[in-house]
Amino acid sequence: MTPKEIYKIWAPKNAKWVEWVRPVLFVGLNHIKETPEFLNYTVPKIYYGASLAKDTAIILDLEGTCSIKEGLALTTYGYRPIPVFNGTDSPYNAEAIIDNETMKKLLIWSAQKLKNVSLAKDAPPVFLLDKNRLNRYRRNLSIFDNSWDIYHQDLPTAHCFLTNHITKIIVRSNNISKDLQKILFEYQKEKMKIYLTNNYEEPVEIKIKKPKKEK
Amino acid sequence: MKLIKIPDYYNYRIDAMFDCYKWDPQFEDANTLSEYALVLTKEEAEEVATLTEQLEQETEEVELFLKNHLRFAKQLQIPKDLWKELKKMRNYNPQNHIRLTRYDFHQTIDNKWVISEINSDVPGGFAESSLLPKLAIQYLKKPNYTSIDFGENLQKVIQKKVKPNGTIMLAHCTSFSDDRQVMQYLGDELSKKNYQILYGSVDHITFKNKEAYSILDGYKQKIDSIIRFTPLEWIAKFRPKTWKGLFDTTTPSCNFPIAIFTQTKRFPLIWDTLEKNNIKINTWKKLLPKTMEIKKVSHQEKVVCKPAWGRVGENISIKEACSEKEYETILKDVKKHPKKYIAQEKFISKPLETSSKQTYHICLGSYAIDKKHGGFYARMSPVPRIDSQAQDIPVIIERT
Repeated sequence: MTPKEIYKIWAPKNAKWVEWVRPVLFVGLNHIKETPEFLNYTVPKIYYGASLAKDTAIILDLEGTCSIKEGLALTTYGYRPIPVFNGTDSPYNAEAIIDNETMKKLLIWSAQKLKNVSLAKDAPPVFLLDKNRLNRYRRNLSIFDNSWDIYHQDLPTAHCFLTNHITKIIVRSNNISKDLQKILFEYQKEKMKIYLTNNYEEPVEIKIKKPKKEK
Repeated sequence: MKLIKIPDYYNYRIDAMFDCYKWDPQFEDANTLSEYALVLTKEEAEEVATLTEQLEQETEEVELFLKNHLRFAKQLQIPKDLWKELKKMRNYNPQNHIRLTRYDFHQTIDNKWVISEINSDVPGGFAESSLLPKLAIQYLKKPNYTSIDFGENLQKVIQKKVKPNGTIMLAHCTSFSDDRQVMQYLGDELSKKNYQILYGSVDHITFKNKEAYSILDGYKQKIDSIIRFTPLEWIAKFRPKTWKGLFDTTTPSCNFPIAIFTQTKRFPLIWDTLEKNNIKINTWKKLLPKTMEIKKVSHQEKVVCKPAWGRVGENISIKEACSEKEYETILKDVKKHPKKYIAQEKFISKPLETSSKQTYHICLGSYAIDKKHGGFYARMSPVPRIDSQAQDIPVIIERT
């Protein structure tokens, strides 16, 4: 499959929410560097399935490969996975902070699975993030910094969610990341309800604190 | 100018992402790639190209004058950290560097051209002004449509100034994929011309004897050219260790920091001084609406306020293009920090109508590369403010 064909599986024509699938990792699918990492292709079990409904969107804020696999698992609950990975590739010989290569392999592998899944055109979305995006530490200045933040422009607005009858967001993570906090706070201001789950426990409604202003 | 609908939009959008480096096709709920192409007549294209070259001639004169007469640039209120470095630019010679600018043109209701600003420091839109028009022409299948390849024109100038097989550092904010898409397009094209391309940030550059070197992991070596896509005022804010070397480097740069004088929207505030010193700015005066200090505004409704260092239409007070809340927030900030803004007389943009009777305002960006016209980059918006929610639209020229 070509990168375009893979992208089209993740973002099929006329399906809702697919405009938000970021092409950044997909355009690099032709150039995957060999990595020593062992890839685990086990699709996880979802323990919060009972809390899911058509009025609920999900944000998976997990290490990238886990995010892709859990996104795939959520298709059995009728959710459409929307990858929002925005990290760029490092120059070939340069060490980078974020490993995009294993995520690319999983995007290809998952596309094969996703191809055979039949989702409703208006399936609710599950947005896939890579929690490693926020690793900013560079041992030295020469390392390529491909860390990234998620910004309000990368996701639908509260207005868009509400117009599409989505009133709740479940964040699947151990905590609320600083960049995501800003976006969720805006959703909360528009009366959307925000929940947090670590998969094993029921999602609990949380109150997002007002983010501190950056200097 | 007219708008023509591009057929099979779903595939066009995907081709734009994969073949034309359009990696940011969505901004919040707004699709940032237009379903239309902007078609210019040959005469319109030539007229804007001529005006661009006239503007650029004047811009260069201004820059060469100000680098040697910094006292006249004080009113520009260049950030302190940058200001301290400007005297190092005294030996700047445009022959040794690559000067790239983009002027944003708008057509008014009385069919005149005006410009709203110059993108003097780090103009973007490289692939959109090179590959996207060609893609649109493929979809439109009209034999009388053509386009200007901005990227090809830029590369020709780079080839003149950077030694063959040399190493070029494309310095950008590596955490931003929308910056990388601009650099990746240019890098891929220059690689085909046998340049070694390094993708790094400004803090991957160091200087010895005014020559640039890369400290990027795996690529510690001399650099033969710097193509920078990080704005100078951001660099001054983040203060990477060796950024000051940019101001007197002999390594061919695009852009050299000389761009700072005209990047600030306060530039028109020193026009009187420039004219007294025999610097001609006639085209600028003809095309840019009258600009003044905030404190000199008598009728708020006749002007728009713009941040002096604003980008992509952010915080511009065009009442009919903002929500009431946003408009009030901008005006509150203007009141609090009047020196950070300028006021500019409002012009009424003439919208274009589509076949389905929707109307869009157009901003036609026109590049100058070493004083020659280099190509077009356009964006359109349903409101008369071209900001982050505006759509990219390929520019096509209709042969008669």
